[in-house]
Amino acid sequence: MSGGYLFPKLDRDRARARLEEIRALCPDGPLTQTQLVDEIQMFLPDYTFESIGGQTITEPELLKLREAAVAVATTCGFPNDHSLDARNAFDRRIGKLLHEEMGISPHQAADEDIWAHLTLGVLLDLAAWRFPDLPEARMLGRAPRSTFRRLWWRAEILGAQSWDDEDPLFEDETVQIMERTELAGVPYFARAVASAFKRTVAVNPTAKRMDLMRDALKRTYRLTPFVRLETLSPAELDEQLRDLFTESVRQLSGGAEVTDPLPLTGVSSKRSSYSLSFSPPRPSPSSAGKSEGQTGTVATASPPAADTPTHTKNGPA
Amino acid sequence: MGSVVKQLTRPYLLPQEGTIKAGEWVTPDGRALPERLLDWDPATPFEAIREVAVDFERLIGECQLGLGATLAVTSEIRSDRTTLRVLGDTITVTADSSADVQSVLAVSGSALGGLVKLSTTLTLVSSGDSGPLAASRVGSELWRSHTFGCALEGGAARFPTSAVSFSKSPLLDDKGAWSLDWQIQSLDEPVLASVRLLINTDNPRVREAIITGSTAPDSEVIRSMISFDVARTLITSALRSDEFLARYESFPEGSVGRAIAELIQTHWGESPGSLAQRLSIRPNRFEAEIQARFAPVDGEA
Repeated sequence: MSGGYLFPKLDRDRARARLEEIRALCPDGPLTQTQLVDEIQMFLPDYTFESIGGQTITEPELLKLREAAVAVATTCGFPNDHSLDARNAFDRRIGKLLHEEMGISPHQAADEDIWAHLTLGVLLDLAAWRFPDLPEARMLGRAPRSTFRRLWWRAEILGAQSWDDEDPLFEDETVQIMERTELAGVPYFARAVASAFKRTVAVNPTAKRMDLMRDALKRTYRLTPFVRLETLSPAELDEQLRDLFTESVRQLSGGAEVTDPLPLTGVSSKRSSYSLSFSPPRPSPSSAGKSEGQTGTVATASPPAADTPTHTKNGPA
Repeated sequence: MGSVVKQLTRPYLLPQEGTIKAGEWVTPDGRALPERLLDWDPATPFEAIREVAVDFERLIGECQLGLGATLAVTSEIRSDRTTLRVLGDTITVTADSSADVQSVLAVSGSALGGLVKLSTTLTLVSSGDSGPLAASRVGSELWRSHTFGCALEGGAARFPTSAVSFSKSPLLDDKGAWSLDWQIQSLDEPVLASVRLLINTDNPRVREAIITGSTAPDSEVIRSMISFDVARTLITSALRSDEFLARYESFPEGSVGRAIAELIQTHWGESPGSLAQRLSIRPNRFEAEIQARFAPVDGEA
């Protein structure tokens, strides 16, 4: 599935009504897989599309997305395995799939109505497997707990850190990053934190992961009112974060010897995939002021043509 | 940002007012960036430029930085729809560089929406041979511009509103005129994502007042009543929330909590704690305070 799709939307009120209808099918307990499959629809009644440019997705395309999602869920144990491992693996893998296959931009992904439609229509049985009690916070599209919305955004903000099966971030650790808007608002920053955390844990295996993440993020947040960490180059940011995490390990271990994590190597020099190259038409008065290559450039390239895709996925920091 | 946010004390010297001057944001064709871009679309890149003049000699004197100090000018755009913050180019400023730099924001429109806020900062890259009270940590913020707000998508900055037939909703009374859909637990969430005013399309007077934007006196009264009701609901709920009272200064930009804190600051100019006390002791009198500030009924003859 290529980019630029518009997904069907279901407004909050209709989504609530739809959720009530589904719950009413089996008021005394979880719905059976057969009941859920009977309720799956590619387009729910009263759906709409956002009135912006883009190609409206078709029923066969939605069906294809559903099939891919079910295939991924099956590798995680859907529909019978309800273990924590199965749910965590599902979160990682389905987030990656939706991010790669839906072809939507952050602008669209910020619309609760497309997530409500996806959850209550196309992927209803997967959502119900993940959250059998069908809680409203999970089944509707409101941030931040909506089943698929939160996973798409994890993939958008954390990139490969969010779907790494070999060395995964745990749920609480991911939430610690994602719920802090000052951090999660800048993917470059959020990925650097995740990376520094993992490298610190790797060289200090006795450190309690959750305590470490909480403590280090508190230290990071204490700095943010007067230190703009996100403006630093990748190497500078990594150095600052490694210092913060190392200090956390030291404090949490009561002053025991701490191994410093290795510096990050091979990092991308690009700070944001949302930034575009743009050449101001007027001559810059700052000819002696240097534009740093590490942060994007005041480049000589022309602005992109109007039909150029404007959203590209972030590469790992 | 609003004056609700306390001026933070920094552990280093800051430049005096006037040492750094930021020009207004302009579009690539040189026009002032408007507060509302009516024809904006997410397929359209967002481009804005501003001049920033740094009096370097004066700054290093005021901040006790060394002559060899290096500073960085960076602009940022923050969207309340996507909650993303996108940084523009970082321009370094040294004793040898020009006093005037041009800060550029060129951002994919697909990352934005709703109300965007633009700001510029001057941060430390290296302090040179500096004094004891100078900033030393890389990234230390020495100066931040005022925030400029620009509403994208025309009406996107309006209060989030949905037109709904209450008779078709099992959760809303058919005869209701409007309903504010939000939860006090969503104080950290973006306003656009968590608060929504539901307008009953079955009610012709309300439909005309809100959806068609009628200028009839009757419609204006209805709009005024709704504005008052929304403000009252949000403010009184927040003032009864321990979480809001504990954190009213620290909710993120664009969040419901921040919006309510700014509303209170704008209309009362006093701390939520004292308002909460009045609401608790004399709820009826506090109701009159809200009426006085949000004027549901115009007192002019």
